[in-house]
Amino acid sequence: MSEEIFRLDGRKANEMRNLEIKVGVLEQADGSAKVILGKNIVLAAVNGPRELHPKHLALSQKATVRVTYKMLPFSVENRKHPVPSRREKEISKVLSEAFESVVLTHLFPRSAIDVQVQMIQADGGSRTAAAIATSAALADAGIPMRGLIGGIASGIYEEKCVLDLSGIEDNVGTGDCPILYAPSLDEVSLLQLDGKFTPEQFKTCFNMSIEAIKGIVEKQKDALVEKYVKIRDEILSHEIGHEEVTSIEEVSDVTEAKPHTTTQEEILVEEIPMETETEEEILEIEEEPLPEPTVSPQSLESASAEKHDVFEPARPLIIKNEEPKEESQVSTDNLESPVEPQSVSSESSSPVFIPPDISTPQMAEEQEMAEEQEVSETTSSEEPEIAVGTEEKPIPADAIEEEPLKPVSEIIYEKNKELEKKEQPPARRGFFSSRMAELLKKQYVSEQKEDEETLEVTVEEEDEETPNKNKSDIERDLEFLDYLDD
Amino acid sequence: MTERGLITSTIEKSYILSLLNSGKRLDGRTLDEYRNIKFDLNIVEKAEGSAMVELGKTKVIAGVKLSIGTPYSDYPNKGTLIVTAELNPTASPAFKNGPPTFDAIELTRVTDRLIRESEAIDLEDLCIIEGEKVWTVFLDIYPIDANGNLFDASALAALAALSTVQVPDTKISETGEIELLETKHPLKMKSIPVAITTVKIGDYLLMDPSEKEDDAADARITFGFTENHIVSAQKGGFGTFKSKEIIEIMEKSFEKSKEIRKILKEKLNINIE
Repeated sequence: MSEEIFRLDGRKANEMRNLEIKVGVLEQADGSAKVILGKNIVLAAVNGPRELHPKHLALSQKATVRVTYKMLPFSVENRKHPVPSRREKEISKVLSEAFESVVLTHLFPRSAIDVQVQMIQADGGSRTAAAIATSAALADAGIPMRGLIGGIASGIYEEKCVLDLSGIEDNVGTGDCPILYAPSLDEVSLLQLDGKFTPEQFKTCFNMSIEAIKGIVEKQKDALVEKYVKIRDEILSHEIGHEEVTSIEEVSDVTEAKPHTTTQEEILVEEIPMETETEEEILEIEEEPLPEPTVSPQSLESASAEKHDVFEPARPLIIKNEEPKEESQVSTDNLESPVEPQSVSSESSSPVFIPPDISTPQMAEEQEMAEEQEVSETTSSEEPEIAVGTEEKPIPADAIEEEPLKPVSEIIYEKNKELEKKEQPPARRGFFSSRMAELLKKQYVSEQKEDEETLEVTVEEEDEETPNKNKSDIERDLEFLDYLDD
Repeated sequence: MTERGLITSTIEKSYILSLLNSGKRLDGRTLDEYRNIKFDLNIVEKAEGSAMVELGKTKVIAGVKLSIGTPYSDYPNKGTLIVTAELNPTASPAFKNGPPTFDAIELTRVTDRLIRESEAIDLEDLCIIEGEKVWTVFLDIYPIDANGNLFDASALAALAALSTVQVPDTKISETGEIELLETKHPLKMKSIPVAITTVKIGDYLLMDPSEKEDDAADARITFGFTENHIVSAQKGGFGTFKSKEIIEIMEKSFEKSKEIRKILKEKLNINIE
């Protein structure tokens, strides 16, 4: 086609903008897709089939497909107010209807299939980009459909029929006609139009769009295949890894960094430092107003001289860094339910990453001792999570994974209970005063400690606004706050 | 409309389909036959323009109010048009009070698109002081008895109401203020847009669906036409159209629109230059 170039971006009349489709981009959603069409950036997340709320809207014979089209405030030139506009609501409605036509809704009576489509950037033809993403995301979620839907707009620009109008072309042009179409079914599931088309122009545009959509759906299929090829490759690499340890080493970044002869144990030990890094990051991020991080290393050192300083509290590491092995479950269990020592102990029998020395009985005892000291020192540690974190002692790597956690967690459990008993809520105080009372108590406790650093940390973290006040000041404030509360 | 009960629709649909198989519609019309259109103009004295339109048993009231406002910065010499449609329980037990439903929003936007894209109103004629003061046209559409095909009926009512609008003449005083004069002139119009709605039931394509046909429809498509152009289109409903059907509907609707426009020209007083 030797057409003259008349479009702003140099495209031919029937040429689309660049289209990229990627599925499975979101972890939480049942299915997801990201679509880039020219400057449009769209994310679609599918949740469902699931219970429909409000329940009175549930249909007894079929599922309801609910597509919500949302433009983010920064997605367009002039900030769009976050409240859904009439335009967004209309597009949500027509997209919902369009996709309900292909989804096998009768398979999921009374349920909802929710699709959230977010325009991260919009630049002409956003609803068709949204539809491409929705279709791919539904397929990614495994929602049974009769066919994939593709969409594209065509319109009139400088009196000529052009495909896939960009934002500027849409504004300058005199016609815009987005179409959704399922090529495998030859079904038009959406057609909108505004502007001025002669009947002939309409036919030209319509046919041009239909042709283009066939290509778009092929791209959707490619994107879906790509995801599963990736998963297959991953699985294959893991399977190999179980058989030959060396191949794991090749795969792992950590082991690549320090290549040496490999045994299973060594690899595991190797991986721990990496995990500790992530752990430190976690601590930084989730920083809580508790003195644990500072306290634990000291108490640890006093407890067991044997341990390696490199290894910091490693327990949550295991949690964070899920290896495709059994102990990922175990560790999460520990985190979530430290209150149930039995289940923890039974499951935690094979923690590959736990430094093994701890598992010898003496070590475990020492550990418990340390733990006790620690806990008693810091009155504020009600949180089991923290206790778990400190419990994990870095220890040389030869020992076995026999339940090192059981006794420790039991102790923590008991300690926590004791603490709960001790820490009665201040009697009949309002919000301000009870908070200050807490602060006072903390300070009092920490003053009794020999360790002055700990004291500072406690006070600072508890309330930054009053780090340097002495006790009498605080008491005065407290009275005042009591007054306020009344 | 879509909010009605599913069971009724299923039973009615099978009945309507069996009728269609023997070549009949519920009310005896042919597939592309419209119901009678009746206009009742200037029903509201206080409004600058108003009309009630009956399309068969479907009744829609449209009213126009004018007020002086500021133009959009990118069109300093054009008046502004604001279209609103509401679906109140007056029109159907299926409609609820409260914030606009999706159906109401769709009706609003489809009608708005038809009037706007067809340039039915000469907005430039509504400019009073360029860049500062223009007439704002508020076109409000209220179905009062929803017996099918609200899209076409609303478009007819909108056009009928606009055809009755009398715009006050204005004079700019020496101090630069706008004075409204006693005299008025009709709203200047540039085209007569017509909306044609077709629904698909089974494999049949029916124009101007009645209430039951609306309920039973798998899919719906509304085309808006001016004399020579398609100016709007909207597909709705949970079903789909084959690509061949789209072209077929477009061509038939285009022919139909000429027929309806003839009626409009007879009944309404619209002068187009």
